Amino acid sequence: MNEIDRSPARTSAGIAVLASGFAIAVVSSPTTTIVGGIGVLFLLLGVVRGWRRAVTWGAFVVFLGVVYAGLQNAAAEELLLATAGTVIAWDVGEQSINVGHQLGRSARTARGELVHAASSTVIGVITVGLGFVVYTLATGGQPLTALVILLAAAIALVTAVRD
Amino acid sequence: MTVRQTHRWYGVAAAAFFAAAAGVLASRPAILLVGVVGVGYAAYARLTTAPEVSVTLERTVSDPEPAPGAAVEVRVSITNTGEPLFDLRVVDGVPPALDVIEGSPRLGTALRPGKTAAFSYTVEAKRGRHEFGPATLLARDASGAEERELEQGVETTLTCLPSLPPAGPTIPLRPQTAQYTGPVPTTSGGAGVEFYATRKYRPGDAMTRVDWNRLARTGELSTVEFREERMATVVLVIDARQSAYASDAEGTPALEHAVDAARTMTTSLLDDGHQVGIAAFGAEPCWLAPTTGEDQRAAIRRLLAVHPGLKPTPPAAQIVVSRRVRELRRQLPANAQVIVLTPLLDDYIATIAGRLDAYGHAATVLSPDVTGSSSPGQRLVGTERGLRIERLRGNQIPVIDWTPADPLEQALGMARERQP
Repeated sequence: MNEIDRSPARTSAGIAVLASGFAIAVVSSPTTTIVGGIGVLFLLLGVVRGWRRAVTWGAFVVFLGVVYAGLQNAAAEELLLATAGTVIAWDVGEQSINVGHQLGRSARTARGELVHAASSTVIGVITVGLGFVVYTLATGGQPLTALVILLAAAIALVTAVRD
Repeated sequence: MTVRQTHRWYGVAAAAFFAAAAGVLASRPAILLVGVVGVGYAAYARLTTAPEVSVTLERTVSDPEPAPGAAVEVRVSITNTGEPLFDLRVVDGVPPALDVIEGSPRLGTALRPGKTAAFSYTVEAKRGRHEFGPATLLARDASGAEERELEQGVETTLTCLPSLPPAGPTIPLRPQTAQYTGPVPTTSGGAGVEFYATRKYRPGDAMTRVDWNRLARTGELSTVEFREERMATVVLVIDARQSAYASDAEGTPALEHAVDAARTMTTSLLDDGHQVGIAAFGAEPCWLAPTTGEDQRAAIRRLLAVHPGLKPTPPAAQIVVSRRVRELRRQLPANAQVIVLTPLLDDYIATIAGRLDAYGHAATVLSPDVTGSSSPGQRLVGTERGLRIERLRGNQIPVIDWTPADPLEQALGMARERQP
């Protein structure tokens, strides 16, 4: 019996690399481009070979690049978009691996993958919008601590709401 | 039905905290925002739950009774009768013995309520009755945080009955001691066509059998005897224990070669007027009493294709053969000879052949050779098999050693030459 080719699904793999590329392109800092570039290479390796760890670490390195850009006073909207791009890259990259693992390369999976990537993107757009609203409110006079408490409250709410 | 967490979003909350901490330490509110995005995704993963799956599944095959080797297209369509399914994965239950030769029996899709998704793939038909198992459905929520797994059954059966060959070579049978006239020469004299011996006249001998020439020459009354030719009763005993599923270099199990050979021999033996029966040592008791005729031909064809004792996939449990052998001895007609079809990969089956022979069922062994020679282990198995063959032959049990890559006729021809 011939073995099933369980390498990652192509559609998601492509979207993941594009999203990580978008994340480093949107931030105008040379250091971010270099650090993030290494992350993108890791992620690319992960979605080609089906290495989940490489995808996770790749996305994390891109994320570090974005945080570094934040320390260098990058614009808030740049950071928000880059973060969303990073999370989408990781999510869709991991999806490409688990779809490949469960269904194999020869199965038709594009429709399910596209819907997953689309819903992930929609959530990205919503959170970026939300983050931008919070940021505008905060720069209108509220101190940073207020923002931190707001964030902690949001996390507590999220955890509580399911149970 | 099971629901499980995939834990794939765990890292996002951690990254969010990391960003928040970095933002606080560096007093940069903009970095805190990065944390907001992470929290947003964590909430998304937390709030979505695996959907209840309510779907109908349909499976059609292009030909439910294909010829062996034929390509059969299997089409599966799945209709959503419940809530929207963002990420539905379907893995069809392809019968274990069948190979998918084109397409994939799997599908990943999103399915709105009332919509239908379909996929198709092609399998290669093989001997046997193949039942499709239930399809496995995996439904994830949009974020992929939770996954529901269930099986949905729909009955589909593929039955593949290979036909018996139209003609077959002569089978080298053992001398037979039976009551019916037929083509097997015996070692006893009587009515027949071939001269066998003359003996003293006994009152009651037919006048046509008196040797008149001799009477004229010497004045003695003597009777001519002819070689009696009788119909044989042959039971093909197929070894279908786990070891008979050992594959040759091409990946074909020895059992398939044995069943192929049984088909050819059935044709030959029935065409020659012998009575043919089938027995097997397999997952389930298998016995078809020997007889002749077209009905038997059809019955054997069917049995060799679909009997659960001759499944194309190996039996799960170890088979207790000793009881089967006792059963077989009870079932075998007193005059039946047996042809044991086995790859001869263990001593036990050789012992059984010897025992049947000793009980008076003249035994012949037909052994498809599936041993390889590419590794020391394979060569060892091949040597052991060779020794078994020599031992059987030493015990006056003919062994037909058949390399399945060569035609069966060739091995049978060599066996006929060996016959005394």
